Amino acid sequence: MFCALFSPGYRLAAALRYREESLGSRPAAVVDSEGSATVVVERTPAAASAGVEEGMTPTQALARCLDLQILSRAPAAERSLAETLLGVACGASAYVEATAPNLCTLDLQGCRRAEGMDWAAWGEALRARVAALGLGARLGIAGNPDLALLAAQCADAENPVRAVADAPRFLAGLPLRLLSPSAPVAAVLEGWGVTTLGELTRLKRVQIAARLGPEGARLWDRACGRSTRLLRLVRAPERYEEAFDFEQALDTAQPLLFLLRRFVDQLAARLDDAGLVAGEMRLALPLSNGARYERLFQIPSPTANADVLFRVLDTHFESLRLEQTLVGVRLTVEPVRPEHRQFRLFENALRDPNRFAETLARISAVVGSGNVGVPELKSTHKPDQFTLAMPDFGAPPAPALPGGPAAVGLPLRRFRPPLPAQVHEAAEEARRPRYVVSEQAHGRIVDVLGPYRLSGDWWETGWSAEEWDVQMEDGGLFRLSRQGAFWTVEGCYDV
Amino acid sequence: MSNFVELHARSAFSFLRGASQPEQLAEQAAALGMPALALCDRDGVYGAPRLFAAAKEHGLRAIVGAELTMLDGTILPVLVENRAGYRNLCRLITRAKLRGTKAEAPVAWEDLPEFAEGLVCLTGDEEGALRQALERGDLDAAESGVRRLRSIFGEGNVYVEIQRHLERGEQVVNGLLVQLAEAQRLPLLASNGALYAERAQRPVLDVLACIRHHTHLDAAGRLLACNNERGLKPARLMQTLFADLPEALANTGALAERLRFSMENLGYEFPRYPVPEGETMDSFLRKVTLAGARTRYARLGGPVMDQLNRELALIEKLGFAGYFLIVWDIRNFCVEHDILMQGRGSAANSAVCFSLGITACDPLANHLLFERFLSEGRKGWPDIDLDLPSGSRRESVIQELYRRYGRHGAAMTANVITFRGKSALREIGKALNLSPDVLSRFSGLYASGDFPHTLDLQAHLQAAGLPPEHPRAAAFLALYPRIYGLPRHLGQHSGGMIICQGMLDSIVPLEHASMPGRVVAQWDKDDCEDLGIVKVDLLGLGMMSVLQESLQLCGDRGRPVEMAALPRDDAAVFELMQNADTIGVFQIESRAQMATLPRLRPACFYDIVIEVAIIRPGPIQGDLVHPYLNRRAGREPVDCIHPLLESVLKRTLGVPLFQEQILKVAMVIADFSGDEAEELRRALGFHRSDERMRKVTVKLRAAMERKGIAPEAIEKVLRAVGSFALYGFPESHAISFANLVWTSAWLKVHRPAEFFAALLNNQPMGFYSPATLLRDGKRRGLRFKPVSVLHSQWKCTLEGERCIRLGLCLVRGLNAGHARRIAACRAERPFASLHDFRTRTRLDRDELRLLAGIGALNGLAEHRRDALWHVEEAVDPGDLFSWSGGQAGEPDAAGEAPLAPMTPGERAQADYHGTGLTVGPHPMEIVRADLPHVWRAADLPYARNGQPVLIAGNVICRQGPGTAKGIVFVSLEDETGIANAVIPATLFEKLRLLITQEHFLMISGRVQNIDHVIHIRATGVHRLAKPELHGSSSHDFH
Repeated sequence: MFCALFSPGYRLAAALRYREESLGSRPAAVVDSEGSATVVVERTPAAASAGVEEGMTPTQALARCLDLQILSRAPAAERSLAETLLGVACGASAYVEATAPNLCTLDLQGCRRAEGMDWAAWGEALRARVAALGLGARLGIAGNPDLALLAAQCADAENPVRAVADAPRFLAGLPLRLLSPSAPVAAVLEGWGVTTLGELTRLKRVQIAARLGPEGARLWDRACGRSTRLLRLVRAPERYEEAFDFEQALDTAQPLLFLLRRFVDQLAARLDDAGLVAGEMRLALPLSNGARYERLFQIPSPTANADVLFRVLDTHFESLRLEQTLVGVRLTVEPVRPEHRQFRLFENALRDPNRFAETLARISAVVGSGNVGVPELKSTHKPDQFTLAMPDFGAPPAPALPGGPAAVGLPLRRFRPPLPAQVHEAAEEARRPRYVVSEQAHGRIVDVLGPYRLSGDWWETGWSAEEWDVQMEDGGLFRLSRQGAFWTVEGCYDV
Repeated sequence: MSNFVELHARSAFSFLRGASQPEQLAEQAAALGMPALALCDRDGVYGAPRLFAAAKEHGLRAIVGAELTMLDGTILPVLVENRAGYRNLCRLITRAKLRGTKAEAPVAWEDLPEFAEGLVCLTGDEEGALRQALERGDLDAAESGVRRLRSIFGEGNVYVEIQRHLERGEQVVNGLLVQLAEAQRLPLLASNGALYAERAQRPVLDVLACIRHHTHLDAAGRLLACNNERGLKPARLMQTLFADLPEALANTGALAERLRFSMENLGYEFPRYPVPEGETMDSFLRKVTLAGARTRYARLGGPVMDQLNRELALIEKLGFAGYFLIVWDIRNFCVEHDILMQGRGSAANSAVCFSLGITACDPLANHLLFERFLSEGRKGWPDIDLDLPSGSRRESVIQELYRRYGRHGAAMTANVITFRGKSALREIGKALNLSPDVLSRFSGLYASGDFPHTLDLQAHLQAAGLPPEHPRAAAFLALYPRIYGLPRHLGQHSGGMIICQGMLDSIVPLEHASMPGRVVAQWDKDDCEDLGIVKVDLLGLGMMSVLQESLQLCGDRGRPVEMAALPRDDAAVFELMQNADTIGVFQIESRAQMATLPRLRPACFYDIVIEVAIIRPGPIQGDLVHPYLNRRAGREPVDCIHPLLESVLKRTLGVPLFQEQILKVAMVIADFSGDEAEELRRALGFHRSDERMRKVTVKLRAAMERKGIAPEAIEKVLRAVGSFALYGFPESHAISFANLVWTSAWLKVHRPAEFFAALLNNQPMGFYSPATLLRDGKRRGLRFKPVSVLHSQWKCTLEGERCIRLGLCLVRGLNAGHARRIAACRAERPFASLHDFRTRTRLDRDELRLLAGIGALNGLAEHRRDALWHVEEAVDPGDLFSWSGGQAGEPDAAGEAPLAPMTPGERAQADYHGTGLTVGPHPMEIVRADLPHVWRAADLPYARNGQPVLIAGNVICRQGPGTAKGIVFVSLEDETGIANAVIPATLFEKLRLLITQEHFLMISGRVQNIDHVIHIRATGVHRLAKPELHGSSSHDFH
């Protein structure tokens, strides 16, 4: 026997998964923007009863149902739901096929007492398990996988578990679209007026095969309920995770290190066995107030070396201060395939990227995260705009920004943040700065260059600045900036 | 005060590289006190005529220039000094444009010397070769580049351009420019490289940059402007900026003084007509006119000869004889090549044009005002527009003109495509990085056309999912009015062609049109007219094709019809019009026209002229329709506004309907001279300038007040004039159109088979889909036979007296060559079987399915599904595209198809899918039994006025005319005819998407029957959901 575990409307469920407000009975539809047109791919029963159909554009759907809630697809949540479904399926049978993201096919040959089994009760229990995880499910149970799938697709909210006893009778009235024929074959069959499996099987198999080729023959077999196929079995994804709950809450994080070392040794050994390496580690520390401290560590050069992995954690704990006591610890490793890369002749590899990352982590602990990295200029006219990126020594050097500011004149040492200043301006139209008072620059200005005007982002908040290069009496060269009535000293020039 | 002149400005006619209209630049330059302004649009003089016109109004001198894209990608600005320079610039641009592609047509450096005379060059801004060389530190390249320019343009004709935009680092390059200028002894020239008139237009430039680079503002970064310093700047500010280089500023004034070329006289000459030896153009015109008049007029006596002599004398005086002869020549070409042609527009006011066979209506018989066509005071050339059958026949006339005058001597006028409507908003939305979903919803709110005015932009944005508090909503709302109307790209006018004695490319640069074989000028028809360039409009009319084909079919069937000889008193034709049975008839088939016909009840030819003219935005908006109809029905007295106007307005019952009447009104009631009336005419036709209209209105009011006309009459006159500014028909034009109305209506009554066959063969055209036309033909007793491979030709053909065989041209997706192959194979010998058909025609599988689905293979198979079953069989083992991989030749013909025939509903669905129409029952007929409470269109006349009814049908037309204050008209077709519903604005806004998206609707409302014109005033609109319903798509005019 086979069981098809099918979750109808999983894209809708995924799109609604993390929404705060409940949709209630309001009509909603999920649209997919892939390809040239955005179309409805799933809709709620309320939307369906208002005439919203799959394949409609949002405009057409809104024409049918003015208060339709349009939702975008949520791929991450869909993946998560697919994994959830697979997890439940794997818990019910050792032989599971992940037929589609919202469909698992289970071979029930291993189930005990298969002959006298109450499949309806068994299926209901399985459906309840899925429902407890927030997913709707329909089950079909039949003698072959395809028949089971058709049964699952025909199950409904009132009878969510459908076991097929009399296959020919069950199949005869089913709509042909349930077999998902390819578009060209579907068009031909539609032209013939063949809309149900019964109508298809009334035609001779040999005639169908002669006209529609192998696909036609396959469809015919499936429509008869005779098709058999081997499942492409999958295993539930192995989790590389170690966890421990303390009997008594810990005041400091330091005692954890001993435990974490054991976790890392265990996990590294398992990874090594599987020929995998750690791409990232996730540390979770449940706290006594019910909150949870979490931290994700990217491993710059994925490895299964326990020492390297532990050093990452050790460095982090050096600067970790928690307000709450700890009630547990959980370490999860994301396994990846080891990468082998050959460098080019003149290409230098960082000798130990993990050690470098560890050094950066130590620096971050001192200067604060967000203040470490390789500066990359942003493509904007706004002054001093850059991001800090983690170095990627494997990537070729980034090309210079097209149209970027030409490096002219003296080097400027920027004050970050710029220093507030009081500036006395000349009465003339250009309002040149004459005297400046600030932390770094103070005194009479003897010469100026400018102004240089900059503005941008007018489509949102907008900004504008007027910059002046000034020479002080003592020979010091500074860059001043005026934003409205507010002056700052942006930096000083190296003379 | 320095006399700074901006000599390097770009307008929006640089297409996405400038943010202001030339008019805005001229206005701002004048406001800043500049004596002159040079416009250097990119690779053309697209904006020059508009700058010239606007500059004249503001007392500014317009200097012509252009930025040339060179082969190395750098930009070279050049300015025109004299006529030779202008000619050279136009020819240089033309050479590059016609050598390159539409997208890319750089100027070759080696072409410059040939065309350098009369041009002055600047070294350019940051895109110029000199600045670029200096910025990369290549001093040698900079020096050699300058030497090259000097050798090309000569001493004194090269200026080192220097710009200061308050950008960091520019002083370094500018310093090098100053040094270079000194070293090379070249004059410096200050400019601001203006890209917009005022600072506030910088956001527009940023958005245009995003559109040009296919990006959005968040990602554009340094592609955007760094500040707003690229506007036109006053001399005072430029003096401050260039305080250290006063000579650079002074040189702008001096150079501007040197550049004396004006577009006032481009040296344009209309081509001379080659006359026989011993003749002048004037004498020859007289000769051919009189020869023509002898055939046109029964008696060539007093009034006719007087009129001809008067016209010929004026034509001779104005030197227009060549123009008339050339148009006559085009007419002769059409006659020789069997191309139906008819002149329209004001040319129909001329007895000479009538005698030459250019126009079809006799101006004397119709009392038309010749001065509307030609007068001594008239500036510019008269308009002669020629209506031709659309399609290949019109193209052959256009190509003949290219052949006669050469690629450099003739061109289509341009059509400047501007930012407007939802496409503009879509582009602005993309630039603002709004989500595609919002944009597509926004577009979806407008099923077609431009903005209806029932909802303001903000409300529309909100409905599309962009609330007012959205951070970018304000920018969106601010940008739209600024970008609205700016040029987006250049297209070609549908029929306007200009020709020239000598080389047209010396007058205006020419370039490739998107359409192969076409060359287009850089100016639109208004610009050409303003500059005195003669345009001949070769307009394609679908109805001309229909008439030509109908007449041909009549001749083929031995019942020839001559258009000019049709009787004008045919009662059956008038009855057709009075009953509004005018689907397919030229001009009077629209819903609005059909709603007027039973009220106007045309009873003579002139009534048709009025009918054509009265349903126009001008008369409708001016509230002229109801007064006319009421007066005609005797419901209100005739009021000619003022006793003085009785002679002018009496024939239209006191309602001014024609342009000629408006001019005459001004002459009579305000004592306007011929010149002033001409000025009024130009203002009426000059849609671009509200200012022009305002001025002439003020003048008219003052004149009437001076004459002591009562204030009430003054207001009435001014309102009538104002309406015509929106759109008014010249009477002669209406007569020309009425001629086509009469012919098409006559054919519909007396030769329906020929007429409907021709209508179906010339789709798309007109107001209705082929499905509606076919149904109308059936109501007239015609029989339509379905497409059949055993009988159909490419076009619809006639079988018997009242029977039309649909042609293969109606099959959507059938290759025309394949269709003709079917006919050719059949002509060799009839198809013996489906197998025989497939073997000989070798159509592809999709085409076979298509033909089988619509029943076109029925003669070779039992029924449609039988054919569909058999076309899936492999014909031979070599049929690689067969699914079965080719299993043997002769199929199981003996075996009957196991498929049931299609139901009527399925047949209708297949027909609409395959051909867009069905000869079988209307879809509504199929579901009629399920709709017992729904009224049929044909039954509505039996409903009492105000009775609540429910109507349903296939939406064949949705119309939201701008004149209807948000009301939308929806026409529903059922098996008995068409029912028209009026949807109030509030109901439409509430159900906008339902009304604009659904193919079948059910509308509840109350019957409104006025003068036998029936509308349903809708109170509710619902979707008509039945699986059997498949219909034709609607023609929408929102």
